Amino acid sequence: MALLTAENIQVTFQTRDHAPSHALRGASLTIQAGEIIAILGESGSGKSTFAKVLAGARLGGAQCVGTLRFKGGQWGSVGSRSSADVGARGIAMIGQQASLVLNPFLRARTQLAEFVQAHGVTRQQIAGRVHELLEVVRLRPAERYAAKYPHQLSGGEKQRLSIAMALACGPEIVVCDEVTSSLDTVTEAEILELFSSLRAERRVSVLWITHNPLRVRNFADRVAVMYAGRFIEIGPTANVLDSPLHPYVAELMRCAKSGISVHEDRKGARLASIPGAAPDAFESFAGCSFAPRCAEKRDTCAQKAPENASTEGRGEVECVLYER
Amino acid sequence: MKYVFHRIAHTVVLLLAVSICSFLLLTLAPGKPFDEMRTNPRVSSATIAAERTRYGLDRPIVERYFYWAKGLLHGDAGFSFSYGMDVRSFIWAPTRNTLLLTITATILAWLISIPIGIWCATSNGAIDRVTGLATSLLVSLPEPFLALCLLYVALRLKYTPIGGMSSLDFDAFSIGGKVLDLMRHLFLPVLILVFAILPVLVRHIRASMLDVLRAPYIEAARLGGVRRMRVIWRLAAPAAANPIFPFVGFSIGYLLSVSLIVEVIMQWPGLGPLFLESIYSRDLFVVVDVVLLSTLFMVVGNLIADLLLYWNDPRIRLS
Ligand SMILES: Nc1ncnc2c1ncn2[C@@H]1O[C@H](COP(=O)(O)OP(=O)(O)O)[C@@H](O)[C@H]1O
Ligand SMILES: [Mg+2]
Repeated sequence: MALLTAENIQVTFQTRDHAPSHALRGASLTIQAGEIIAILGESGSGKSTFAKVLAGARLGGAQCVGTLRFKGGQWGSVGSRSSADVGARGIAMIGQQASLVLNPFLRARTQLAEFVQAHGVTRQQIAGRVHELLEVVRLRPAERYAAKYPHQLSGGEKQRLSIAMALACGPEIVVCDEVTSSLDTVTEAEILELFSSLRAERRVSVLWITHNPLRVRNFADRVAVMYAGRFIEIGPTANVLDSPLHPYVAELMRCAKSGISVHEDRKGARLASIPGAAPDAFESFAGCSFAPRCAEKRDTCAQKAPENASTEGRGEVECVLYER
Repeated sequence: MKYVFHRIAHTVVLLLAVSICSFLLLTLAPGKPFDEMRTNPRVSSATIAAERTRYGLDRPIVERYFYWAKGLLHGDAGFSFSYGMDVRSFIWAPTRNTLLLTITATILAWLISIPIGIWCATSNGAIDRVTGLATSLLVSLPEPFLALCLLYVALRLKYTPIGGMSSLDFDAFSIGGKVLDLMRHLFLPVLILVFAILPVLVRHIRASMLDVLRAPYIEAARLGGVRRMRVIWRLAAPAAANPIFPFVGFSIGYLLSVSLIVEVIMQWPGLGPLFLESIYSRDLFVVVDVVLLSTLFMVVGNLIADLLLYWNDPRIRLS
């Protein structure tokens, strides 16, 4: 049975000076217990918004539609959940900037203890549990790190501490939003390793959001590619990376492998080799969101949105080329 | 260490500057000590001149300043012309009374404003708006007006004494009775002082708390299921306190200066009435000493604020 199902999640930000901004336009994803899923996508495609929806974070007055099902129980429409609900149910989120979620005034053990205490741990067990968490994220020796303040930690150590805080809630799913983007490659590899062993030891599911396809090969079980607020291809890692189905994903992988990957402009990172830019959230389309840039588009693409097609063993894709 | 040295040097320079300025201002202002004697026909001008020579008033101002400063280093705060005795022999009682008033009011103001400020920041809607309105009203009232209003109310209610520091038969009371009597006399002036500073403190505490509650680490704690009260008091409070500490120094200084006015209105036997009286009679050393004492209190207030900041912020403490 699926651990978490997100169905047709739509998030629209109402901005005062612009048209409504469609961050998510019907994103659907199923997460199995103990699975690592990588979410790939260009900047602005809606990855962070999806992470926030799952974690129950505040979306600043955005309009949310869609359903989330956790272990079969329904949470109802996305916007109506209270945040305490999520914490209790075990989805934790870790963001890109660890230093932001660490309280600069408190020692590592004090902050960890507050999180631990909120989850039914008795007074006598707190210290032991804090020690254990520091060990799990490889902040060793734990006694020394327990006494440190955030400003005494390196970038990688801060990120580890923020992971420990997320784990303190005893989550079954950890959503990682660009967790290693600001770290060097060695530290990144160590953190990937850490999540691999977390999954192996505790059967924690990991949702790994990144814009770098190359890093997920020996890490993720499945890859989901997001484009303009939808998942346009979901499949086993090797398939998506090496023989992608969707024309966009194919181009994305070709760029990543040849090292052109992405370049930054005003809108953020974008693909150099595909004409045009990824649509921003203010645009709206009747048909396929990739149609204006697609080399293989058909006449109907601009009018009719592609249906979700399951291909045997190779995952799901949203493209007319695969519709039956 | 460097900080301590810095601090001491700063304080010394401040005290020097303040004493020189008040010295100058008072000697250059029109009017001199013993001027009242001149209006008395039975005192000859020769007598006055003799008196002036006796107290060194005919010496140049620079010399008099150094004479006074040298005395101060030996614990001699100068001589009061109008009291006819050393300043140090009578200045402690009013100092103690002023400190009693100011410190009581400062502590009380903080004890009241912290919960109100946090309450406003964490409860949404009506409470916040009502308090916001009340504080902006209080802020716009000048303190003497506030004092008069409260005085009027007290007159009407006839519950607390409306002036002085002790009842006429104070000496006859037992210890408990004395304390109670003192508290009753303290009530009104303290209330005025608290009202004077409360809106400022509440506003800053509220703003600081609101700021911190928006921080990502607070949001993370909320998402992590940490209970509301623990989020506020354990996680948010230390961070919110940081920008508030300078106001500890400010509140002491501010209440000290307001208390000088309030003391005059309420006939509290503190430094306020003494200060006023000595300015009228151009009692140079008394004026300078009172100014110096007030400066010293403010320095101490700011020192307390700095120590609190140092104690609270690990980034300062451990760097
Ligand atoms: N608070 C917000 N207000 C308005 N628009 C927003 C807000 N947050 C995100 N968006 C919009 O939603 C889209 C997706 O953003 P995001 O989920 O952060 O993308 P990603 O993480 O993939 O870079 C962007 O186009 C962005 O402009
Ligand atoms: Mg993002």
